[in-house]
Amino acid sequence: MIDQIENPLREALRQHASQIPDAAIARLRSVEYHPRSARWRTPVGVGAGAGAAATAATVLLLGGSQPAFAGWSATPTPTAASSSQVSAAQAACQAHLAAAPPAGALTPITATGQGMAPVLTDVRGPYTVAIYADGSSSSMTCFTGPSFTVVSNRSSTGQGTSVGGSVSVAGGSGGIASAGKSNATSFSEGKSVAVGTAPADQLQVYGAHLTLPNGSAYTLIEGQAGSDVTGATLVLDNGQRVEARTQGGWFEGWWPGTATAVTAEVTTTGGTVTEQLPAWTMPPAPPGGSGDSPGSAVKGEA
Amino acid sequence: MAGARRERAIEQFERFVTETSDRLLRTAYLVVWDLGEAEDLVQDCLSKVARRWPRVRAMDQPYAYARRVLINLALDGAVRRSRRREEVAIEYEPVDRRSEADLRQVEDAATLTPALGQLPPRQRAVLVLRYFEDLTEEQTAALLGCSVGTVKATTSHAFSKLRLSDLRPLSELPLLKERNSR
Repeated sequence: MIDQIENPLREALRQHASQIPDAAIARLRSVEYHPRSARWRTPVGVGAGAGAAATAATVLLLGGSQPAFAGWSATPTPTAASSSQVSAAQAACQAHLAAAPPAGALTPITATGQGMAPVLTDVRGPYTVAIYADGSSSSMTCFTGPSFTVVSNRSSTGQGTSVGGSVSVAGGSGGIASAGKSNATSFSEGKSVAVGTAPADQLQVYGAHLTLPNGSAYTLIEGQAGSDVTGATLVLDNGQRVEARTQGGWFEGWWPGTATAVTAEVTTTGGTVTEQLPAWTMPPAPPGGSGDSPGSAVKGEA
Repeated sequence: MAGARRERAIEQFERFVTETSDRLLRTAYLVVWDLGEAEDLVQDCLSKVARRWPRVRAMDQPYAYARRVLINLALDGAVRRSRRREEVAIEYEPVDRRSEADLRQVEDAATLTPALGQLPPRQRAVLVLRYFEDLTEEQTAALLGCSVGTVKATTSHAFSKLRLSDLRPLSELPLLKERNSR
C-alpha cells in the first residue's frame, strides 16, 4: 500500500533539489579531479563570498600530463542541444568575473545580467566559448571546459587595432575565489584586421594563442561579422578545417594546439569567398606552447 | 601506450564528472540540507572516486559507487556537524492532534519541505534514497549497510515526524518562536 505522504514527499524533494543554482554545479565541474595523479595540492580555503560555498576544496595537480581537449569538434555543436552546458558555462563565467575580473575589465558582468551581455555561444563537445559585449568595441571571451574557466578581456580604440588583453583563469581549484592561483597563462595575441571587401561581408578577425595552466595549448579566433555574413570556415596551416560559429554579428572559432588559420571561407548572402588571412592576424605560436611572447598581455593572478 | 591509457581514463572521468555532478550535488543537498556542505561533500566524493577511478570505471554502475561514497561521507560528517551547530534537529510535540483525514489533507510539498529540513540526517538520507533516488528498500539497506527492517522503521519514524509537523507552520512552534523573538 502506498503511503499518502509518498507523492507529496517526492514532490517536496524534487522542488527543494531544483533550487540549487547552476553556478554551484558549474563550480563542481570546474574542479580538477584527475585520476591517479601523484600529487595533491594543499586544500584551498574559499570564502563564503559570492555564494562560493566550497570551504575545503582539495584538488589534484596534473602531474605534468597535458590532457588534450577531449571531445572537441571542428563543427559547433547545436547550442539548443546543450542548453544545460551553456547555462552552466555562463554561470561559471559570471561567477568567475564577479570574483576575479580580468585586469582592465571594462564593465564586469554581474550575476543579474547587467553590463555586458552574451552575444555568441559556441559549444564544441564539453567546451563552451561565450563572448560578451556591451555594445562598444570591447568584448570579453569566456572559455569553459569540464575543469577550467578562462576569461579574456579585449578593448579596441578603433577599427583594426587591438590595444589590450588580459586573461584570468579558474582551474584546478575548488572555487572561484582561488581563480588562477599560481599558474600563469600565456596569451599571445594578434591584431584585429578586416577580411572582405565591404563592411557587410567583412569579418573583423582577431586571433590569439593561449595555453591553459596544465600546458594544453589552444588557438582562438573571434571578431565581429558583417550583416551579410552567414558563416565562415577557417582553414589552418596544417590543413584542418574549422567551422566558425556565427551569431548576432559575431563569429568565433577555436581549436586545440597552435596551428594558425591561413584562410577564411566566408559565406554571405551572395555566396562564398575565400580570403587570405594576413600574417599579422595571428602572432607566432608561443615557443613550446607556453610562456609569454613579445607583445603578449599576461595576467597570472597571485 | 601508458600515456594514451591515462588520457582515456582522464577523459572518461571528466565525462563522469560532467554527467553526475549535478545529480550528486542535489542528492547531497537533500541529505545535509546545506548547499555549502553539499558542495564540499561532492568534491570530497569525486576526489575519492578519482583516486579509485581505474577500478570504479570497470564497475557496472560507477554512479552507484559514487553515491555510496557520498552518502557515507554525509552521514559520517553528520555527527561532527551537529556538534558544532547551534541548531540541532529540533524535537517537538504537536500542540494539538487531528484526525488522520485532516493530516492527509495538509500533506503537500509546500508544508513538507521545511519539515524535511528538521529531520535527522540519517532519516533524511533514507527518504532521499527511497523517494529522490528511487531506490528500493533492499537497495537502500545495502547502500547504508543495514537491514531492510531498519530502513522500514526509519522511514516510518520519518513519516511520523513529517505528519506531525504539518499541524502548524514551523514559525509558530514555541521553540522557534522563542528563538526568533530573541
